Amino acid sequence: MTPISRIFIGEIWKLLKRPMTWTLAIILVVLMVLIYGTLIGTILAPDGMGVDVEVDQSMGTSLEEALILPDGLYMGIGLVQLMVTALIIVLAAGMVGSDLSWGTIRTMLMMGAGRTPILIGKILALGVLGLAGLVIGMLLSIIGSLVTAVAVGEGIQFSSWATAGFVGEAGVLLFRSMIGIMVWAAIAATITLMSRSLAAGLGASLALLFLGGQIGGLLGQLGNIGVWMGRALPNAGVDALNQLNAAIPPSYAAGDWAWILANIIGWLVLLAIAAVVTFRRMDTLAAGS
Amino acid sequence: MSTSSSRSALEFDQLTKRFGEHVAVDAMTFSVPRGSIFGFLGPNGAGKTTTIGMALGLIPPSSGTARVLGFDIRTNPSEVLQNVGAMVERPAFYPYLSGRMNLQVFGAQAGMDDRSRIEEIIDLVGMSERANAKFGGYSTGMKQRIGIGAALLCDPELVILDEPTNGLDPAGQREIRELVRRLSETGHTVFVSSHILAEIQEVCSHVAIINRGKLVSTGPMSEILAGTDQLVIDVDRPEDARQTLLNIPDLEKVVVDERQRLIVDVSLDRAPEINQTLVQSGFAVSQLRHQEGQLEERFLALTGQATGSEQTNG
Repeated sequence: MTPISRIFIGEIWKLLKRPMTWTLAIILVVLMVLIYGTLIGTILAPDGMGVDVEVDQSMGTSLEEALILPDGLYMGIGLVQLMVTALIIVLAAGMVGSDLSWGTIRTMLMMGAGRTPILIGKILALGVLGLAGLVIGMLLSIIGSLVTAVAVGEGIQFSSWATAGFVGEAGVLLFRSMIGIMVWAAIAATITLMSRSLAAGLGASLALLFLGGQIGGLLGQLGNIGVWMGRALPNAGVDALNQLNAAIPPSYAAGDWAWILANIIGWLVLLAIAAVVTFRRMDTLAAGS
Repeated sequence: MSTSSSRSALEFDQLTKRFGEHVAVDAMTFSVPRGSIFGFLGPNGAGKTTTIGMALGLIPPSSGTARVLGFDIRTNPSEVLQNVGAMVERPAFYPYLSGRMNLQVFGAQAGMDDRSRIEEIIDLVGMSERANAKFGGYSTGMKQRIGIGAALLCDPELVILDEPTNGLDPAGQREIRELVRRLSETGHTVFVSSHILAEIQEVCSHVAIINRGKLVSTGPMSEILAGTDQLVIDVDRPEDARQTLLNIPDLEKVVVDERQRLIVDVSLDRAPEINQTLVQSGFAVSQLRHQEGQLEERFLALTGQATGSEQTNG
């Protein structure tokens, strides 16, 4: 077994034993139940109280249509992706920050684990957990969609969604979401490592997640230069990729793909270099004190 | 990776660490013979942990080299550390895992999957009864035991223990001293940093004393203690007796202690001459005994921390 695979398995094991992981998993399930419960309740509300929301005004898609499969898949992944991203940011900052504050990173190093394998093993473990979170969330959203279909009297129409095409589309949505999850895990882990502070890693990453879009939009008001500045933000490439997960995705030209890929790859490379250089130079005795 | 045939388990060559303007470790140069129990002494803040940190690759040195088992720690850290077990500062483990699980996960990540070895180690450090309790709930002494256990997990050639008896009761401290001796007997090199000087004197074959980041003295314990033997003399009129002894050439130090005994810094072979001088001068010597050199005295003298009034000959 290679050092990276040993560390990867160990990190997965530690994450599964860590109470924080299960707390976050419970939060994910509870949020999904609450969201779908509220949406179903809205649809089923008595006349005069129910809101038949037009989810997409231009296409005339109602909330009911948006929730029921197959379109429900897109709404589900949108919800799940945001929640799992936030939870992975918490987990990534918690994983790196705790290892620094507890001094366990020092113990790992003293027992012969290399610095680069530790970083790679941790990010891979976060990726696997993120994928698990996405799959669980997606299954929950599918269950929510089916419950909605039954509740509004449409019944479960397997023929409209239990197809190879549906499964393939779900796989593509998961894949795109995973890219975003990995970028956000890298952002949170690297900021935490560089600042040696769980709070800084968590705060900066969550702020970027929830405010990055708005900042990009404001920059866009400055004209062409502002648009390009917005596209350089770490969240921009991932946000653009996530828009493809909508029921009616945008159509990107080659130029759009160029900046999206450059943004994602560029930031991943930059974060990896920053993390490796910081960790290699780090006084891990002081970090654990 | 096999370790080098170098005679030294650890070699520091001009090892230096600066934190801004502050020089924490200043051109440290000494070596630790293989198979020795090496005591590493220094007052608080002398640079002991920083030196150990550099030896283990935890802190990058500003200049100089640290060679571990013949290899430069900076060029091949992972492979070298597989033959080194260490506990530095406080033991650091996952508080939400039990002691046993901590050893399992750190062992597995280090490539040691032998469950029977983990049980052996738990037994060795006396944690059999509490191994399944959460590490976060352990007392300082229990944490220390798990830390020592982790250091020994992979049966390393070199064991580095920073203040290993911290938090342990006297029985626990004795167990650790015995463990250190057993490790040495089975061919391990043990490098121990401690502020308990009696402990170091009792178990260590070699010693290095540092102060303010600089090496003050190093060598076999017998050499460090050479010249620190004392004669303790119960005599009537001790102050007059002291004046008499001060007339003997080459006596370095004669002191009357708080119990009105004469303390003479001299080796045992000069006892007859001193006894004869006192008796011939009309003093009644009721007891004269040899006291082995104390590392504490040597340490305080070398680090300039000696206190109290001392009267020296000449």
